[in-house]
Amino acid sequence: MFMQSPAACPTTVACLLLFSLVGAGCSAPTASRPSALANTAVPADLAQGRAYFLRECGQCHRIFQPEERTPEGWRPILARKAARVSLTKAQYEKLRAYVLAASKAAQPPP
Amino acid sequence: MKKSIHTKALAVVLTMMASISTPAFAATDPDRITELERKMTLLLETLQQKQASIDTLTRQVAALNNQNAGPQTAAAQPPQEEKIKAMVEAVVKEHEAASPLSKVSFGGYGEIHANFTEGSVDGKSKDQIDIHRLVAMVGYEFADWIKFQSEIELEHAFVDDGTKGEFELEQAYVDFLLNDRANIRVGRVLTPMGLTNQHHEPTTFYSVERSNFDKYIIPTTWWSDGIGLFGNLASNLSYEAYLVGGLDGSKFTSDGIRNGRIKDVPSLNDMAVTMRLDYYPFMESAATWGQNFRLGVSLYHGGFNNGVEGNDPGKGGDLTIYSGDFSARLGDLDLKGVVAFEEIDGAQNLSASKVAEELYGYSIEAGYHLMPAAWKSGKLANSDLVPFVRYDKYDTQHQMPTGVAAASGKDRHDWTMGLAFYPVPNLVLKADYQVLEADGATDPDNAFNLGMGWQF
Repeated sequence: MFMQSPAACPTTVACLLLFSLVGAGCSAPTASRPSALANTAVPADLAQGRAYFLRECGQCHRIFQPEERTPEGWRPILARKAARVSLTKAQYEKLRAYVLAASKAAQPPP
Repeated sequence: MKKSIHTKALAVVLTMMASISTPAFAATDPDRITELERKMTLLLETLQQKQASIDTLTRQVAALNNQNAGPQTAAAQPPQEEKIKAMVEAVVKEHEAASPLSKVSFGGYGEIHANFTEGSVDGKSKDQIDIHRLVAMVGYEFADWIKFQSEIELEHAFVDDGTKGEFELEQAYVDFLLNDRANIRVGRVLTPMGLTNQHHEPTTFYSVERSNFDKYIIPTTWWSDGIGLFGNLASNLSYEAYLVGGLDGSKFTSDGIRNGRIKDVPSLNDMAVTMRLDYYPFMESAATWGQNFRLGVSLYHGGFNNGVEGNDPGKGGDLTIYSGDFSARLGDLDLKGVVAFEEIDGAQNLSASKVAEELYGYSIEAGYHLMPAAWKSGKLANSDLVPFVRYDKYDTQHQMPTGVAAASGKDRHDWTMGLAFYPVPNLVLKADYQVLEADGATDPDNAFNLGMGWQF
């Protein structure tokens, strides 16, 4: 047996934690990860690729936002995942174009 | 620059002509002519010299221009090293495309749990370590538009009579990709209900164990065998809809429909339809949170007089499940929630098992991506740290058939709070504490859980 006594007031603790997380999230900057498409509507020619991205990439794991990685970071992942999605090659090219266009801007050289 | 040089040369020539012509007009005619011829010869020689100088200067200017343009031209041309790299990549791709393995995809996931509970059974600890799941996912591309996917799972490490281990096929389907709006899927699919059933890999949720909502209300993992359609009705609206074999209602209990899942050869006596829609209402928004805000609705409706290999139990009725869910990301805050309501028409026929006419539940979770950017370097460059809290409510005896008393302790609610650390995105280390409560009965034992999950 790992523990013998229940928490004194678990509901209160959990509520405080929940509201703290909500508060922290609301105050967090939403544009902390720069992207070529940050805070702009996605152009029409990339919208179909985004639709594929949201439908397919969220099937097996949380959706990693394009701005979480640079184009260099995305390229090997996109190459690996091509066989795992229910998309034709032409459809996958649109997904790929969207991810690369919305990816994190490459860091300037030091 | 060339214009300036020509102007200067002309000025020099005119000045010389002026300086040499004035004295010549003062001489006699023969002498004057001789003198003029001499001076003209001299003038021609001088002009030729100046022309030579101009030509030299012109060539120098051209050389300087070429020098200035040189680096830009070089940048436009790929360096030799890049050319060689591109050639090697092309050869490798050609070789890979020719290999039969290029059509095969392979993946998998797994999770190991350690569960420590406060209580005991007959004085014995219930603490355990459990290799809960080990899964292989294999796919094959028959053609660009025909793809096969499968998921084969071993649960609890060992399968034998008397153990709770299972070896099972969770998914096996072929997609016929026709167009954006309508594609055909045939085989064993994950029933598209709720949040977790289709997204049950351990890296997709933060707690060690799946939520009890996903155990008792939407009985995860729940698969169905049949045929259906999927696609995008619009760029912000996708759907799935299937006609599938139904559940076995004779196995329903006071804990809900979980035991009614037919895992091997389901009967098609009472078939069911199941479908879901996922909608991004603010996809055209400029704000990132709006683009990622998702709403989902799902439905299941079908009969449950089904058994294995056509051996139907003879206890008929209909099951209908309505579910809604959402997910959102506000900055570094993840929010998600799901609610479901179930109606069992014919529960009266299952009164011996205290099956309810209505069940309902919901689950809501918040997680915050806490990993400071300064720590994301070196081996932890892609790491993440997520504290989370979740509340689950699940009542499997919400409304009982007339004359049937509800079993006690089936209106339950949990708080789960903990931490998920991703050293890399596809592997997670988890720790959480669960406070489990049941209305009108002794609370279940609280639990502390540790876990590790991965996916590749």
